[in-house]
Amino acid sequence: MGINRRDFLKGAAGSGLLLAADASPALAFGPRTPKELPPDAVGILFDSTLCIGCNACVFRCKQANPHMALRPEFNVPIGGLKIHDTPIGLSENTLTVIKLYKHDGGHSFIKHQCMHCIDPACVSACPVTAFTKDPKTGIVKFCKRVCIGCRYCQLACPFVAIGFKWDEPFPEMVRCQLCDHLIPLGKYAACCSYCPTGAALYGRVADLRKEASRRLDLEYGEPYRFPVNHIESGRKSFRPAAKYYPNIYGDTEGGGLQVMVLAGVSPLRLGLPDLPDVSNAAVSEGVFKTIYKWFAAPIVLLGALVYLAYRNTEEYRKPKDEDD
Amino acid sequence: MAASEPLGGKIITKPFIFFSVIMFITLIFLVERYIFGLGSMTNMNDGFTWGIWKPWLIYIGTAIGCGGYAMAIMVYIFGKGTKAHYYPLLRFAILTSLFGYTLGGTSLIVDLGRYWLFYEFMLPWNWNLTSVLLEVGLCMALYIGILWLEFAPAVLEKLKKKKLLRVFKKVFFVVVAFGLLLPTMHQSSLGLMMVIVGHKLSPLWQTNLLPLLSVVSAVMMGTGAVIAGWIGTAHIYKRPYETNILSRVSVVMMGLIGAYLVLRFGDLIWRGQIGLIFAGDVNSFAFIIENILHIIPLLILASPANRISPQKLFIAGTCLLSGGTLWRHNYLVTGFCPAPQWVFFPAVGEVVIVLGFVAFAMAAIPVMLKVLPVAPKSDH
Amino acid sequence: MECHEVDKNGKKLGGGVSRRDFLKFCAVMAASIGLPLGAGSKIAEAITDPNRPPVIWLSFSECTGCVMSLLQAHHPTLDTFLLDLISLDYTRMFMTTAGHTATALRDKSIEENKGKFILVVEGAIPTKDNGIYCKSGGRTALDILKDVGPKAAFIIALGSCTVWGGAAAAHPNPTGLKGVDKILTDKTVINLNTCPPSPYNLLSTVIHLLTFNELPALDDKGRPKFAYSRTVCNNCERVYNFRAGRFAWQFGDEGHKKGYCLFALGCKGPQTFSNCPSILFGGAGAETWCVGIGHPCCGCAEEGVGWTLPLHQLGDPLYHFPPSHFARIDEPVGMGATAAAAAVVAGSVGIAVGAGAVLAKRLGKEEKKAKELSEKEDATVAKEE
Repeated sequence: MGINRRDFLKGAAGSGLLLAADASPALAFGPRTPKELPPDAVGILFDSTLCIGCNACVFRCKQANPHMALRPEFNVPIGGLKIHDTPIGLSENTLTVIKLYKHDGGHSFIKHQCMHCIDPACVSACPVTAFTKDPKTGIVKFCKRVCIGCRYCQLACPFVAIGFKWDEPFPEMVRCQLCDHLIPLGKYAACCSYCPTGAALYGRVADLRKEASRRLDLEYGEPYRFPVNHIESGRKSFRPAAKYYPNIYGDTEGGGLQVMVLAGVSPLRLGLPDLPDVSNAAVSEGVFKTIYKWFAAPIVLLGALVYLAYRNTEEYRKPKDEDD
Repeated sequence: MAASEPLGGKIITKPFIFFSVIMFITLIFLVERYIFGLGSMTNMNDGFTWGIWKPWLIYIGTAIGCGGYAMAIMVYIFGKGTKAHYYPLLRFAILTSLFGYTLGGTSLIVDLGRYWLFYEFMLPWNWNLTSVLLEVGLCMALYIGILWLEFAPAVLEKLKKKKLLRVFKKVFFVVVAFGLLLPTMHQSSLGLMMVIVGHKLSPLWQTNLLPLLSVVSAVMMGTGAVIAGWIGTAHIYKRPYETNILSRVSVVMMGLIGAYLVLRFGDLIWRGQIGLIFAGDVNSFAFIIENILHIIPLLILASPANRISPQKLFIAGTCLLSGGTLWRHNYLVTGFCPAPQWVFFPAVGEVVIVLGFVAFAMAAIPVMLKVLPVAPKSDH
Repeated sequence: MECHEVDKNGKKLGGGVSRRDFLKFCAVMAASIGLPLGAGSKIAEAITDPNRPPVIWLSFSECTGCVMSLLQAHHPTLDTFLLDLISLDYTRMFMTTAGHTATALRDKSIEENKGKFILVVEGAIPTKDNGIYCKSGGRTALDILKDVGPKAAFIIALGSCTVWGGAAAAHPNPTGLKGVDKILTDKTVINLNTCPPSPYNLLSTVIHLLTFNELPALDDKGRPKFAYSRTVCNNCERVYNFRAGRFAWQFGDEGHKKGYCLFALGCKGPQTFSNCPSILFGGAGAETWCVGIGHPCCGCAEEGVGWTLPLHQLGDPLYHFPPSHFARIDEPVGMGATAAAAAVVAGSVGIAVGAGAVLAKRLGKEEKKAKELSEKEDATVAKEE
């Protein structure tokens, strides 16, 4: 049989309609409004130029969080301290890791961990609200009870900082929660409380941002009193400032991060992703919420479809001889 | 409407046994997965956290299963006055959808890490209304139900429940409307799910148009599956090819492929990433193959003579199907790079489980065709 | 070879050593300088040679700490060292003669052994105002050194003061103290850092010179490599605490009591090159060296660290080569393709493509047949007509 011009145009028009009906809002609407940093949000400032690679943070992190040894048999406490292992990256056993970046002129250490985004993708992605962002401290928390193990959070996380216990029959997700279980005890993140040089510095994000920009203003070699452990601890390390790459990673990247990085080289060379200033969660939710605003579009579409289906199944509804 | 009839014939055939063996091997791996955890038999890692199960069983499986959706669009939306032409294949299309979606849904029991808490997903107080996955999951669960309802007439006919069938036919349009709405929603959301991964997906695929492309591609893949599937079935069981219906469908297809390609390349040019096609890496290679597979059916179907040739239609349908499959595979596996250091290639167990699900469909669909009145009645 | 009186049982008499003890000592020395086992006998030969070159020991701006530390040595003891092992022709400290007699002996020995003797310098040399701030026998230190230095076969700068000024040259350094190699710029000076220097480093160096009559392998700062090629941290018994992040944060806190790493207290171990932790201090017993007794290393062996950096300022680890135990940024994670997996994937794709191709071919054949059939029918119809 042949196809006439009319049929063809109808087909083309039909497809056009389908396109228009569905996702044209995706084109027309931008990201949703970015999330604000809670005023008392806490975070970490990691200064790569201060890090000496002593791995205290990695070890203390494993100690502060339960069952973090690389191999289960290492979880046996010996003399009150768990055996130290050498992780190669973030995993279900390692919530923070110091990695080495080597280049011709030298090397830098970088602390990889959950960056506690101000607008976290995992919180946006989780279908069962297992991830929440603390409204006061801004810490991204994980609630194991409801997690169904779909691993969409891992997919969404720009830093691949969420672990999954792959080798267990009844697994769970594992992530850095900035030691929020220590806060009621009057302590703070274990990695920072044991960092001897102040490379990992804990404190209010607002204070840390000020501190970071102060450091960027330092001349190369200018002596400076670097705060150690907690920005309010009063403990200082006196030493000349290194040469800084003029960017606070996490000030704007990915909609802002509560864990910020200062380094002597571009943070992008230290294994941190090149993120736009708008968070992925905002982009995704911008499209998503536009399509499903008040659930209006689906309801209108459903109405139209019910009408069309009713009109076009007239014949079908009629009782016919062959049915009897 | 054209009536349907069971194909009849032996149920236990050689292919049936072959696919059953594959399913048995799959069972062994499943036992391993439940006793020793996912890591024991897959290569999934924190970077490539979805491995190939979700891409193949959810994304590709349900897109192949969009045959019912695609045919329903043709019949119920654009089918006024021509519905008789499309009806015969609608049930066949819904049958493929049924398997695509039901198996996709079932695969979650294998894929979910904490599958025993699956019910948490259904509890409204747990819902995270910003999660695209929530929309996909609920919508898909609902659609599986709708598909079974859409398929119910075949079963009811078989069981000779005439009264129930008559009542059912009265409210069938509501089922149909939902059967059209839900795939539009979740197929677009499936695409939207990858928007949040941002830089981890190569710019060749990462775009805010993913939801739109995803729906269009799902309709194309569903139609491709119906065309190729039906011609294959008809060839094997010596049924009429229904080329007059398929050629009408293929005209709509041309429009869709055209629109898809315009959107795809227009978007690439608009974002200024068109140069990546010539980068000469795996991504550009995958991109080129994927789009060639979309262009071939367009070229084939452009000639009216080809549109009534079962062979050409079969080739076009298969290309369309593989093109869409590759596009999904590309934006979920090939073009996905969590960070340069992450390595992934599926383990044997992973592939076997996918094959097991495919084998189940390949074994069960012929049985359904033989037992239930699904295939259009032969005039001969 | 008779080097000391022994009774018939081989036991040593008086303060001397038995032949066995002596050979043992030579073997130990060989090991400590990093020489092969057989070198022990060569050493024995060298240090019993009656014509072995003498040692001239000059003392300038110093605190006698270097010599005091020598007194701590017990294998061998100082007397054995001085009386049996080296031929010490002049030293201000241990000579029974004094004044002009001593100076005359020194000058005589220098003249007699010109170009052969070993010069050990102890103490920094004031250079301000022509070096008038340190004088001996009416001559300035600067003058003596400039006079004696060029005549020596080898020059050993003993102690940090002698190497670069050390404690004496700490800011503001009013007398302009300088190290030996700043003054004798055209001679190679063997620098034995640390304050005070380890007696065994001196002994090993002297014996090396006596045995081989050549310099031991030196690093770019003139320090013998056998003693100064590794940082204090490298052999420190507390270093595993450093790797594990176990630090003493204050003197007397729990970590300090438990013997944790002293880095957080300002230990300069990471940037100080010395063998303190391996040979300990002065042979005074187990763990008796600064870090061993709970005090952070102050970097006395490193110019620019000791007496320059604040005592409790954090050290700055100098990794000349970053340690290999760190995960690299691009450390690969995950499993790539295995042969089996690749085969399964290729096989499944192959079967799918093959099945499609076969079906397409059969469809084509069928179509052709149908076409021929219809053509034939048409032909028959035409014929009938």
